[in-house]
Amino acid sequence: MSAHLEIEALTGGYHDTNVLFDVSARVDRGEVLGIFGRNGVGKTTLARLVQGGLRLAGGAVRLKGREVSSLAPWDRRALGLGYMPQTEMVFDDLTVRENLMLGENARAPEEYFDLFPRLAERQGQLAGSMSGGERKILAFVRTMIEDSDVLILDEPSEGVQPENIERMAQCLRARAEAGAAVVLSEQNIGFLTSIADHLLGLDAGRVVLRETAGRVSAEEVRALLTV
Amino acid sequence: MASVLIPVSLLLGALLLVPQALGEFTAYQLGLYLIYGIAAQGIGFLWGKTGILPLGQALFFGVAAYATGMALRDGGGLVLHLGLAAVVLAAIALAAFGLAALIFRGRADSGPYFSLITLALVMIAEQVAGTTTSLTGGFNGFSGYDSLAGLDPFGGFYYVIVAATAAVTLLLLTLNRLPANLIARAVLDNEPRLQLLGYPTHAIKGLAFTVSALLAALAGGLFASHQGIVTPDATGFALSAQLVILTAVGGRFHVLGPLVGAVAIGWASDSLRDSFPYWELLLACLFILVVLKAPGGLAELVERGWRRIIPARPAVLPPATEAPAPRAPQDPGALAFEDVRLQIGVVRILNGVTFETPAAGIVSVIGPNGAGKTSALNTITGTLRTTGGAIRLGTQRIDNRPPHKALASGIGRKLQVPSVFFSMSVAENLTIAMMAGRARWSDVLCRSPFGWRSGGLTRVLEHAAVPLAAELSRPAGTLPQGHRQFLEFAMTAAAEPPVLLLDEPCAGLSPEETALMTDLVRAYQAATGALVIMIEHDMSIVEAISDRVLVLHQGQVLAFDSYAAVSADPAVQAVYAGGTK
Repeated sequence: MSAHLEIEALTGGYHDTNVLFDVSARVDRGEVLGIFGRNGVGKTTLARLVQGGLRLAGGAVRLKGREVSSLAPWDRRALGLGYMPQTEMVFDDLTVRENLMLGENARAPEEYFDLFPRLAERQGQLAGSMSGGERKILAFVRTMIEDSDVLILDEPSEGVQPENIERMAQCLRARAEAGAAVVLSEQNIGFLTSIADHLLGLDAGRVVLRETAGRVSAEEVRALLTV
Repeated sequence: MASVLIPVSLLLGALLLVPQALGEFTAYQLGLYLIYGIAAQGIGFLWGKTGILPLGQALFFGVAAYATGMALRDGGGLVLHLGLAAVVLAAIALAAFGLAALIFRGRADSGPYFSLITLALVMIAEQVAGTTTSLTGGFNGFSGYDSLAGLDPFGGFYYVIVAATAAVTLLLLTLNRLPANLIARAVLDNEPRLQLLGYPTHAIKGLAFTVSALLAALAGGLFASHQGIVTPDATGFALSAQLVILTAVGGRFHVLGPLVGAVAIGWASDSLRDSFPYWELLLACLFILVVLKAPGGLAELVERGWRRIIPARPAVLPPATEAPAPRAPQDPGALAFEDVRLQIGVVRILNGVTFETPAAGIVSVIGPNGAGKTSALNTITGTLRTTGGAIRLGTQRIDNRPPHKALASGIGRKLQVPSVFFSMSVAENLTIAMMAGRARWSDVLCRSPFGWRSGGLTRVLEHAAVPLAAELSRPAGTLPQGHRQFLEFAMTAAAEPPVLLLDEPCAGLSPEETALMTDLVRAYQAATGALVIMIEHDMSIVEAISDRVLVLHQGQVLAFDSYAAVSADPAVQAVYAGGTK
């Protein structure tokens, strides 16, 4: 049976320069794959290659068994791929409510207002006037309400207060339990190891660690992140 | 210097051969193309570097053309004419600078309005030129004057145009090698960052527009003498649009591009005009093609091919020298918020924030998302205007001043999302930062700032674990997020501000990189005795680094004390647990 997301020998980067080489991974339904590595090792590049924002130089991406390597990002989205980018993740000149209304969303944003009450309070506020952490939460909830089968999140916890990071973890666990495949790229190792089933460590664009999460401690992961 | 002199010498040599090689009539035609080319070089200078598109350059072209015609008709010698030219050019420079500074002051996003205003002005000018018959000759044109110094437009005047073309090209190529070029490009790249480094961007745009206006005026003066008649078309929108097209097709990012565009399109138009009735349609299609497929124009295509044969060599930079001392006061005193309020629309972001920091040390700011932490820093730099209360740094009141004045008060700022000049190399980013708060206006016209080093920058760059020294030639836009954090910190530290505002400098960093950033912040504070105010969520960092901790909640101060006191405060515990990576 095919996995929700299959990445096979992925190679790619920016223009003529590849920064990711021969990376393979498989995420089944209900699983969370945690990706870690120092800055510059290719985590964001991997997310963008899978999402379609960058073109592959080699390898393949399969979504629920279907090859999507040549599809545009919006076509991958239509096939059930959700993506939360690291930066430029909300529309600054739209209100919080308008940001949450964009696109075809399977869930109502109100479902998340208990966890993130600040969004409910600030529905009429322009997203650009919110703090960095609040914008991250807005982008996170935006991604959640799409109810995608495969979720890719690039550093969602950056700038977010610890209580809200725990709530993000709660949401991601719930999505995985509901059958989604989740790919989480994070520098916050505590957050990552608290929800990941499998870990993929990258260095210089290549996989250097592939392990079931329970078999490697947060300290061991941190030890791999030497500057 | 060879990079400047070789192309200018080649250009000069080729142009000087034209009368003998191709005849006087061809030289006469080429002279007109070069005149338009000079005006287009001015547009390229403004548009290519700062991104501002002027749609009314014929205003300056036409005014100078009429003024030249009138001066030549009224007689007098060359000295008088040059004197009058200086007066006209000074008036045009003043008008251009005043117009641009007025439009851009206070608003970084006025570019489209500026273009439309210049369009409106040139339409007014054309109307005025056409209706003030007693002064301009109306639609019949202004004529009946001799050419400058009596030179024949079909003979000696061609060499005046060639000399002007060579001089303008030399000037622009020289400017390209100077820090002034970096600063002009930085306006297009990241204007808010440039402002926080203390650069008055409205004045920089004003100066760039002034240069472009003066080149249009020079071209207009040459045009009047070359053509022997000035009509309202010389101040018109059609000419303005044509100059923009010449610039775009030739290449607005290259000094020679607009000249190439002017000559190529001028020659093609003159050749096709009689044989192909739809030549203007062809020109329009060419413009659309260039905009869509080759935004850098013909010059970029040529350069790309040239670089395949001869790769670009890295510029030779002057040796590293100690940078001049920062101009900001080095001991400005404590930072005090007095009942500061901030409201955007109906949302109250700061609700009477009051605290006073020590004059030195590290103050961490913590609080839930949306507590007002980043907004509080934004009010210190003037990025957000307060709606009540006062902010003082020592004895100076600093609230509601423009962001570019923050550094002069001694305040440096690193933003939450790393903000650097993305299209520039790491080294260029650092040069701009190195000049911040130190360079005088004359310094931007010397190459010595390329070698400037401050203790603040050296401490970061020479730290073995900081990943920047090996990436100096890499475009900042290709750096991963974490490396951008270090670059922006290095840029902020380079200016050595006595008050350093850091907004989550460890966001997106691994635990080890976080430890490195923390070390750099501590080292900066220890070396400079600065006041560092740092927003942070990771409580292990807050505990390790802070002399005092400011807790904000719902736009108010919940606590301001030592880490031990704040972490034991039940009110703080109730709203903010904190955590570690």
